[in-house]
Amino acid sequence: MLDITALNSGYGRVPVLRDLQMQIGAGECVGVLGRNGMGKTTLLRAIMGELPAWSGRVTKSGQDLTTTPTQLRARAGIGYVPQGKQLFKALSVHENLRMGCVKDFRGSARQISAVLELFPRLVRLLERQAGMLSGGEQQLLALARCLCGQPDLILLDEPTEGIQPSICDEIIDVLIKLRREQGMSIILVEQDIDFLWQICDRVLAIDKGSVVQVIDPKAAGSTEAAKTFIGIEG
Amino acid sequence: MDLASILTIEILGSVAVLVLISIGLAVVFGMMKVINMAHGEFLMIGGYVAIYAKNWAGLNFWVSSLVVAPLCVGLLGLALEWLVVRHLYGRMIDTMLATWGISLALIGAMTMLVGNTTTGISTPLSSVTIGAYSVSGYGIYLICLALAIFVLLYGLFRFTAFGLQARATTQNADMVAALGGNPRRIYSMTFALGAALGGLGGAALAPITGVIPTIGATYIAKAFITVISGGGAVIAGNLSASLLFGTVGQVFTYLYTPVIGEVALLVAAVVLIRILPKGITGRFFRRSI
Repeated sequence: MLDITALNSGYGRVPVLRDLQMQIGAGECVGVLGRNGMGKTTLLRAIMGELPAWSGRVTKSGQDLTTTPTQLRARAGIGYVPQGKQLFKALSVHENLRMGCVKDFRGSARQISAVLELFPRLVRLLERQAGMLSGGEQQLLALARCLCGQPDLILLDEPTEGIQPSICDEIIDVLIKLRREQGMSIILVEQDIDFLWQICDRVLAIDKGSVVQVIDPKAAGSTEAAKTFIGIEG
Repeated sequence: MDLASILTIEILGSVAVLVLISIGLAVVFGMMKVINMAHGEFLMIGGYVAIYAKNWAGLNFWVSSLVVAPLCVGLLGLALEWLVVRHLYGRMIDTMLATWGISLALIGAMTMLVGNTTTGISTPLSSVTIGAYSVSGYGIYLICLALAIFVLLYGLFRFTAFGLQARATTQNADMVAALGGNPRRIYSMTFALGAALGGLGGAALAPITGVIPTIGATYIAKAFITVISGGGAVIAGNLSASLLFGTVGQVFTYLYTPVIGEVALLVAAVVLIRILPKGITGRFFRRSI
């Protein structure tokens, strides 16, 4: 599905990702954890094309995306839910969902209906301005908007940040359903170990821009191993 | 009663003129945060295109001013966006300098082509009599044209896929790209739309002002005042600022002289910006387009 080889990237002249390697198969969910500033968000932005690859390769299903512009990566099936949601706050919920269908507006009504079945909480909020929603509702909308684009790989950047537990549960349910029913691949950057452990097949620990350990959530002692990478002792 | 009707029409005419000279600038500034110093020259070229399309090509005035002028100036805007402006997005001062350079180049080019004398065109509509008074039929047409522009722009931004993308791009261009949209294309089309509206405004005003290569300078100050005072919302901001300044200017013109009317308009703008630094829609109608 997605193959990243020796990827180097960063901001301006400051390197963040250093020879990063990772692969994700179809229908797989891979978690990414690490301390702040280790390159988790940078990795997602580099996959999405918002940051240029200084060297290395990014391929998806055999298609080289290394120098492909962001919008063409989205059209190649990569969906992105960035940190902070990045909603169009002055637009209504429905208009945000329509923007999720920007690749093909003709099928937007059908696609929005299908996505709203996954997020019934949003149905009564369709005419409300996105900026007026609660943090949890905004997170659901950001995920719903991403799914309107019918991606086969989604990149999620800290979806539980500042979100109440009931919304986190809703997000987990949706992600599990997407994997089971649509075979969707997911790369999930998250600091909440419980969240990661519920849906990820494996978790990559990142330190100083490189993958330093692959953790199997089902393995004994995996939680303790993960905690050391996000700076929680014991 | 007749006098009140005439005064109302004169005020609305003054509002319409402000709308016609500033709406293109408002679209470009409001949607792209680009301060286009060449907007006055888009108005000037729109006027020349309308005049030459009628006088040389023999086209009907309405076709020249409503179709040919906005189309030609829109294409010019598209080319300038592609050649110059798109390389400077996010660099406001650089964009101002570049468009100022374009402005000077367009003035020089037009002066070489047509000379530095005023070219005119006859007003295509006769006057309308209201009681003991008469009012310009073309002035009433300008009011209708300004209204039609607002209705069409509202429909464009509110109900079309382009409008939705344009509003989204204004808020977060990176996210539009991450969803599969093309912000560069939206910016190009928006700049071309702003230029076309400038061309339309210049063509519409040509019969009452005449056209000279330096006429843009007389438009641009009022256009900027209207756009900045209106604030971030393109349509609500432009409409509210035009209504305010058009009314103030025309009322003082009626009570005193046109010069006092101009001064009153500028004083009103200074007071407004002092009270509302983010413009009218920075405080009121904030959720409008």
